[in-house]
Amino acid sequence: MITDRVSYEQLLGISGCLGLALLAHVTALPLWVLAIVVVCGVIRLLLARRGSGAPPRGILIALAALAMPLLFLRFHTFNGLAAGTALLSVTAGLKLLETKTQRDIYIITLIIYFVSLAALLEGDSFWLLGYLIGVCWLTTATLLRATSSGSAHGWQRSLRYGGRVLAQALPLTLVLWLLFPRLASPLWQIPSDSRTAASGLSDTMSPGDITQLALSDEVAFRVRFDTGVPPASDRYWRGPVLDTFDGHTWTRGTSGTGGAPPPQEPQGPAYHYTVMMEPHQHRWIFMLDWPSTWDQPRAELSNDYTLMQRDPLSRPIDVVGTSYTRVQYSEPLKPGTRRRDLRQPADRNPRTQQLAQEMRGAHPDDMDLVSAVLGMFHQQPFYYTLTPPKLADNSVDEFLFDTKRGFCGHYASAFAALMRAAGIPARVVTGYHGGMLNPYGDYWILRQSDAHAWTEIWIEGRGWVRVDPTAAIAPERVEKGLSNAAGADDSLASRWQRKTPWFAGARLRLDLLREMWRERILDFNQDSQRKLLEFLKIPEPDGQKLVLVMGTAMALVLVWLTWQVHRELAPPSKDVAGRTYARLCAKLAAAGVARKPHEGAEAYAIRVAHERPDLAKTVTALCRHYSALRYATPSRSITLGQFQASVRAFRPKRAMRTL
Amino acid sequence: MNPLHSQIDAILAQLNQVVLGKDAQIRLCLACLLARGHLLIEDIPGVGKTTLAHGIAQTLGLSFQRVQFTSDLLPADVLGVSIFDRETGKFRFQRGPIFAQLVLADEINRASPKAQSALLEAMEEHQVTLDGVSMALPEPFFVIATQNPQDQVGTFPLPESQLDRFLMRVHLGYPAAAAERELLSGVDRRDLVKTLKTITTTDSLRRLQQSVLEVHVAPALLDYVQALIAHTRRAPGLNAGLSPRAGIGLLRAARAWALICGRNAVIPEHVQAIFPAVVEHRVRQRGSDAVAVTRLLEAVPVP
Repeated sequence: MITDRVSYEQLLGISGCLGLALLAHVTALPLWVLAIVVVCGVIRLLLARRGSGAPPRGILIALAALAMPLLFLRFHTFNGLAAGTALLSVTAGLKLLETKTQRDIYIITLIIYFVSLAALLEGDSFWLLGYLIGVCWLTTATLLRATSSGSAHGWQRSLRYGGRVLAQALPLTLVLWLLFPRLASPLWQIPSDSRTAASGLSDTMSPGDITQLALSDEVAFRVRFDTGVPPASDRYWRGPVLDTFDGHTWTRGTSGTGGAPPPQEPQGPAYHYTVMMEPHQHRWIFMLDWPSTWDQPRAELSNDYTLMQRDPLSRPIDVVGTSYTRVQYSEPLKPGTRRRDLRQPADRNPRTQQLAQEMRGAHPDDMDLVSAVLGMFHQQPFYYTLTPPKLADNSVDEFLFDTKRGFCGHYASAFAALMRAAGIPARVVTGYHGGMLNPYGDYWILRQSDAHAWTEIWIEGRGWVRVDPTAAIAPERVEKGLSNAAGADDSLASRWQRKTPWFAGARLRLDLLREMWRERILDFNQDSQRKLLEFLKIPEPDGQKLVLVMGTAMALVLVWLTWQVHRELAPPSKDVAGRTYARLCAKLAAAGVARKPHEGAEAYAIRVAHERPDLAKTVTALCRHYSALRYATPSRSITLGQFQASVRAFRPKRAMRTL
Repeated sequence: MNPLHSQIDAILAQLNQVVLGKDAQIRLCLACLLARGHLLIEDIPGVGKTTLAHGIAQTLGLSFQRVQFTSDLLPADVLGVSIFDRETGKFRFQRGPIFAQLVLADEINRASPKAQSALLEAMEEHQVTLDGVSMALPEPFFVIATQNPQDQVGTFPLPESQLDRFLMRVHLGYPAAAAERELLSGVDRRDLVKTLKTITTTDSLRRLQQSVLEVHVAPALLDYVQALIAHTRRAPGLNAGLSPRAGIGLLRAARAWALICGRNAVIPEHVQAIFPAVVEHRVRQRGSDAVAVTRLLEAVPVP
């Protein structure tokens, strides 16, 4: 059919919408996939501009035959999020190329909705959601324009109408979101891509690693303390413990990680808090040193006191935990662990080993030795910098004797190496330190820039003792956090932050919004649903009742929607005069003289005048006005606005009971 | 004030002197005539039907004929007859009493259906056809028929189809006490009729009739009239609702009423005022369960 042909304008609109939807995937999709879509769209638009139709079928089939193997080569599967999205995107592009009729437009519209939805599987920020809602709105408006019979309406009107359609979907969305039964564990798992980059700390540490993190403003996790907040010198958030040293890199040994952690007796105050983890694709959960209890059944303490989940954290979780900042070990170190924590390659860092021997000779007591080493860091010109010189194989030697410049990783590494050389079991602990209070939300933000590395040494009779050698060189680093200590090396954002307080405030408020989004929206789960049912005063809430409530709510929403559609089909008469007159009659009814339905306005006025002589003049005038508006020849002297104003101003007193 | 309105007021005032205390009925009669409808006055003898008809003719300046309907009345007695003229050797049509501007058909239900239908056909078509020759009746042409509802022996009640040709049916009723007193003490009304002034000419009457058609009818009023008509067709207790002709008549009567009230647009009250007179004789009421026409009105809300 001729009339069914798509116009250039429709193609332009739908191509734009597809482009906007794919923009949400721009980081996840290979660039060439996007390029294919863009090229397809441009070619189709150019063809439409010239008035010609879609390219011949043969070309399309050839293109599809070319694209599919390419996709398979890239992903090795069509299953999974990234591959599926890529496939869908390429299909959309090809569909655009072959678009001829209205029906093709509908199909592309559906693909756009689906692509938008798929973006939510990749990210869950509220910016993304807002953006996608915008895309859906625009797409709906485009669809409306494409389908509207007769002449197309203006964009403004289509947008308004599209917005209304979206708004009508809102109640249904809310009901489903609130009440659709949520399972404690998902029924199926989106095949998570192994390529998805892990963020934050890793289980190895070479000199220079943490520098990358130090410049990142990304939030690692947030913490809300239920009771008191530990002092800054105790706010060490424990991450992976690195116990294997090859002279350059510290790694997390696999041999010693199994088994229960050595028993420890908590001392001092307990801190109760909730850690709100951002997904980082690693298994560890950052707990305050030393964790004692936690509420994640799928997580357990490794024997070096790091809380580990069974699977990598792929979605945000909340962990409620308790920690004690002081503990006492009652058992001696196991010989296997001791051996491991003393081991270091004999042929590396000879100067360090020699120094350790010398210092050991001078300080036979372990704590004395620690103080001596820390004193060395403090007195000798060791600098704290985020841009240290590169170190080669004997990294500790070079650092301690030549460069003397580094940051927490260097100091922790050197300190642990010295301790091991001196015969004290030592290991490097990575994690986060400090944090920033968000005064608007009363919670702490730990950013990647708060990443830190420190050491633990085994002191007989006391157990593992935390020593933060970085504190010896730059005490303000431990007290205030990296961004202040780093001087000129800090990021643009943090520099702004200090210069413009309002910027810092806005950032904190935004973070609060993010935190609320995460807590209220993303973390809405079975438990929240149970609370909702309790709030609705439904006794003994369970899944069945949830479904019942959902069914009822859905039915109500559908009835409302049906009513809306009905009203849409038969719009109410815009009878302002009638409505105003009805208001007048209601006022008079309230005053004691109700109009009979069959009573004409003037007859009514006469009756009112008879029953309420005090109202006679006004009511007669008003009723005559209405009668004229309604029945007389339309004329400019009889205005509706005047009638409306008079009725609004009309305040009849209630009838006095006369004796 | 509009000269038309002053004319109407003068007519009403004059007629009110002839028939005392019957202002509403007189207005209805005038409305009926202005709407070019025929009038049926239903009442016992002696309440002033003839006097009223005569008075109207005199006031409006119309030629007047009266036909007393009896059981032996023939159509020719109403319409006229062709007589052979010896002098010319041709048939000459002798016009019957129907050839007047206002015909009073007294006790119409006494005549045979044949005579009745002769009159009613003339009423509808405004012409008389005899021996294949059509003769137009004078314009304007009104019929005021009277009938006595109580007198049932030897009568032929008009069927509903015929009743439909009368725009209105009006009951005069007994006069009120004050009016009666004046009747008794005053001059004979029949003598009074002869002294009445003629207020309108044929032309000015036609202008009045024309201005009835110019009275504005708003869509909302049409809604209301339609709702009323629809209701008579659905209402329980009625065998038949209003015919489309009745609907047209209803609206025209309402327009005439609005004109008489001095308005240039019809309002629902006008419709309500003429509704009983227009509707009562048309809707057939089933059995003894009489539905008062006012109840029909009450069932339809005014927009």
